[in-house]
Amino acid sequence: MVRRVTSSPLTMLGLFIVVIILIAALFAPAIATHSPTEVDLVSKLEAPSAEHYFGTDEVGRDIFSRIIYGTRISLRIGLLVVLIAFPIGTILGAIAGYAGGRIDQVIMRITDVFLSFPGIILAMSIAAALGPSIENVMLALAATWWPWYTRIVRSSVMSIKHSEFIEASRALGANPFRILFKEVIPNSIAPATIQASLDLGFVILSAAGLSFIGLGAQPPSPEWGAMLANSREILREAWWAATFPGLAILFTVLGFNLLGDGLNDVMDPKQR
Amino acid sequence: MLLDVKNMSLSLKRAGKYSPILEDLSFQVKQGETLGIVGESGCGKSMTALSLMQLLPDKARLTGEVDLQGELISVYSKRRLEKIRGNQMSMIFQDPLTSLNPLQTIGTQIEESLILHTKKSKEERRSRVLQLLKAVGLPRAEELIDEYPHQLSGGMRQRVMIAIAMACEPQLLICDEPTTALDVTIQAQILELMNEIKQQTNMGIIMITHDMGVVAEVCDRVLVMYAGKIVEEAPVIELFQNPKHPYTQGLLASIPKLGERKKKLGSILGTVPTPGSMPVGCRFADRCPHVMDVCRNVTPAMIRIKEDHQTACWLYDEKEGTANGSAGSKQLETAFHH
Repeated sequence: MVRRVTSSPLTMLGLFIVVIILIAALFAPAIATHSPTEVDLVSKLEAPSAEHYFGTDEVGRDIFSRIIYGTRISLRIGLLVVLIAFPIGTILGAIAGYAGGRIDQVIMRITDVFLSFPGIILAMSIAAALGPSIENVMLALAATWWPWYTRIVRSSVMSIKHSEFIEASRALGANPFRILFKEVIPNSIAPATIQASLDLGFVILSAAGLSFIGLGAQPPSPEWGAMLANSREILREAWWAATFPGLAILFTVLGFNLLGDGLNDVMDPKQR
Repeated sequence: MLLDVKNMSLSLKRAGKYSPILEDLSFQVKQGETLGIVGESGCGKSMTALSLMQLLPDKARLTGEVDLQGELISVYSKRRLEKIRGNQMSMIFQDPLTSLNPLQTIGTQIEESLILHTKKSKEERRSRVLQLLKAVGLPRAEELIDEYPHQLSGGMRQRVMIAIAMACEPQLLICDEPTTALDVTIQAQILELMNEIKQQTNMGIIMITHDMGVVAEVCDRVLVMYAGKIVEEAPVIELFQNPKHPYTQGLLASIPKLGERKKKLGSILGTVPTPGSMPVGCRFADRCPHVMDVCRNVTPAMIRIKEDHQTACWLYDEKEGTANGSAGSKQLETAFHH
């Protein structure tokens, strides 16, 4: 399996990007050259230079340092949203798929309700209703994300629930709860796990989007979406203020997507 | 009596209405006895096994009485049945390749029923698992315990399935075609192992199969099923030497015999009627070479031909099992040999 990951250059590129992002987040204070929030009006709107790698913004904050610290915010959003949405979606999907009948109908119609809104619009309205903050963006995104896992897990549960080893486990006298957690979920979780690794990138993108329109991180937080929003008015004088946060988002999403696609190929023997 | 089944019937809901799958099955299994259930695909053999375990889909209607060691388990709640399954009554499935959880080690899966049904400590469970692995003839038990199903061959996996089923020393073991997925030499080994285990533990076995060779190898008594009903019941030697029901005769005629040169192997024309479109009267009538008018109108009852030999066919009557119809039973037998 390790060999199959290393043999795909794109997967390796994805892994490389993700590792760099993780390092940036973990060692942000050591990597950053300046404080991410310190205002220095003397050196505002400076172009990229040896002193300020990515230049400075309209109040003289170092953009490179802000992007480095921003990885912490983005990763935290991505991981927490997936970590909230994934278990909820998995358990509901497994229950729906395994129980079938009326329980399945109720759970799946609820997920249909959530899926019938465009995700970002639903997240916007939830975030707007709860008030703009990073925590509320995470809640909003988690609320729109779990139905996808429910659907994926339900379908893979349905494909394995008549497997003989599950029947055999019933014949041993295991109760449905035990079968669900020991047999059904471990054997049907793989596709949803891959989806989750792909989703990390999309969640980060959506969170940046919400922050961009002012519903997420608030200034002076070095959140990439919020930085982009700030730089809109100074785009003509300072191209760097918008370019670098944009590239940061691009590479993060790209990294997680490449890695997720690679995992998908590795885990699915049929696509080999 | 270990197992006493009275008038067990099963209907499954299909397209909104219940259609009968099993009708009025009555049979018994004694301790230390192997009862074979034979019949072609779709005759309800496997459903019989699942009905005994009560592992049926939700839309199933099961009636009749199932008595296991004096306990009327057919009226038990789901919770109480869970205590019996795997403990007093175990089941081995057809395909050992898919009957094991691919993500758990062999040891964990054998241990499972010990966790469910006993209060053994971790060390006790481990030593019991090792003991079981050795008992089913698996080598390197110490290593095997931490291996995964994909690392084992089919025969080894079926031995593991037997070890799982035997973990809590059940009194009744139901085997649903346990050797169908295995090659012939492994089949023989597994059957021998089952005979050994039976002798050691004196449990009762229900052996579901369509393979008459398996029947001859391990069974003491045989039920022949056709389209959800029992058509003949006899001790194994009696059944092979003196089959009464035309269906049983047909089954036996369709086995190739060593050293016999025949142009064509006997076969039974037609197919099993589907549930929901069962004919009135005898269900075998349409395929029977000796069909009479009465067969198409009235369902034949079980007739006792000898003390331990029963069949449901209009060709015989109660007293001595002589033929009723125009064809004598000797002719009957030859009728299938083209």
